Amino acid sequence: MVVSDAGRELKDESSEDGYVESTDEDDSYVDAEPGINAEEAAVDEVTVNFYSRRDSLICCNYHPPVVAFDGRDWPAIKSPSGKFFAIGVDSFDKTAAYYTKNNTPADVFGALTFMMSASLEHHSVADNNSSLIDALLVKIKRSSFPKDNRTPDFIHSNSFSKPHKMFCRFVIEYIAMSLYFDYWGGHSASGGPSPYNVVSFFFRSASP
Amino acid sequence: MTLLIDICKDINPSGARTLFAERARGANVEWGWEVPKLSTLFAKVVTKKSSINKCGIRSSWYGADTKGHDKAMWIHHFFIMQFVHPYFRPPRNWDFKTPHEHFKHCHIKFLHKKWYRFIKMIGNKDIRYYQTVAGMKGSPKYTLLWLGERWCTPEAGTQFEDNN
Repeated sequence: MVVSDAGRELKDESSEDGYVESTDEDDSYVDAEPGINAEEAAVDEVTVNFYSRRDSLICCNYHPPVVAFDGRDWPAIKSPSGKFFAIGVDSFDKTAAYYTKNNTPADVFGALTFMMSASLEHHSVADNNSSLIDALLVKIKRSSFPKDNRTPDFIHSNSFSKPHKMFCRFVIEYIAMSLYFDYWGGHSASGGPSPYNVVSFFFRSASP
Repeated sequence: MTLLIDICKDINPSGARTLFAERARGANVEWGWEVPKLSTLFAKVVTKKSSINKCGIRSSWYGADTKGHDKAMWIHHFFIMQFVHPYFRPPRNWDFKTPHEHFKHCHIKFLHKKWYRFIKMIGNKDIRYYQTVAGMKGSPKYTLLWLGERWCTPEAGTQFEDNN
């Protein structure tokens, strides 16, 4: 469901970065104007047609935006194999916030779409073999090139694909658990709570 | 979990295969992995909280050999985590600097200077645009936006200089 875009190469070659030494420095930024018309966005036709599609605007400078499916109805989502989510089958704490009320499918699947292509790559991966689709992630990739003693000469290969794979699997695991318990709580202990038991929270409501 | 993986396969088949499949015997591919215990899952979240509270957020490989950098959370992971756990979804109008009750009054330390090119808090313009596109009156649930632009593989021969 990743949509393609015309070549949008990195224009800013001043990708030099450094440590944050002073938090006073250069902290201001200007809100990017997401002024595009989504209807005008050319979108590749993709495989599924059983979702009603909606743009996810979590990547505000993506033109066209990430396309996911409708954000209003978790229970109606059906996988390609015809299965539905088991949502809120069990509960840790019935007073905790609900995952489904705090996250729309369009945004969650937009994030998963982004996540799957947002890998860490070593500078030695040729651009035409790259799986990256985001200019900022290309910038991170470029920073792995040893330069001016800022980046070490050797970064272990395990620092690239493995952490990303672990992270993506964790995201899937946690979202699956959150949907099963329909749970959006800020649990404070590292041990898993038992369903229906009182659990402690850092804070009660996570809604912004 | 299998349903989420199914949908991910549908969204991005090659990406999903890389991330969520294991090679079995021969050319066979086995999808999925062993489901962790709940305690493992919650322990992982606590580790991630610790990594941003103690080690911060990184957006570059610069200084990768500095102590603690390997434990810092990547900025794009921080962005995605707002859809995973409420702790990682900053309250709206947070300025990224002020210690906030939401983050247990901790500073969120960004290890690299240009982190602000990667993410921003959602603003009023973004909310209005969201309302137009989604046809909704309220605000989106998420609060962080990713600032990257789409990037396509350059044509052969235009590899960036650092690769040479």
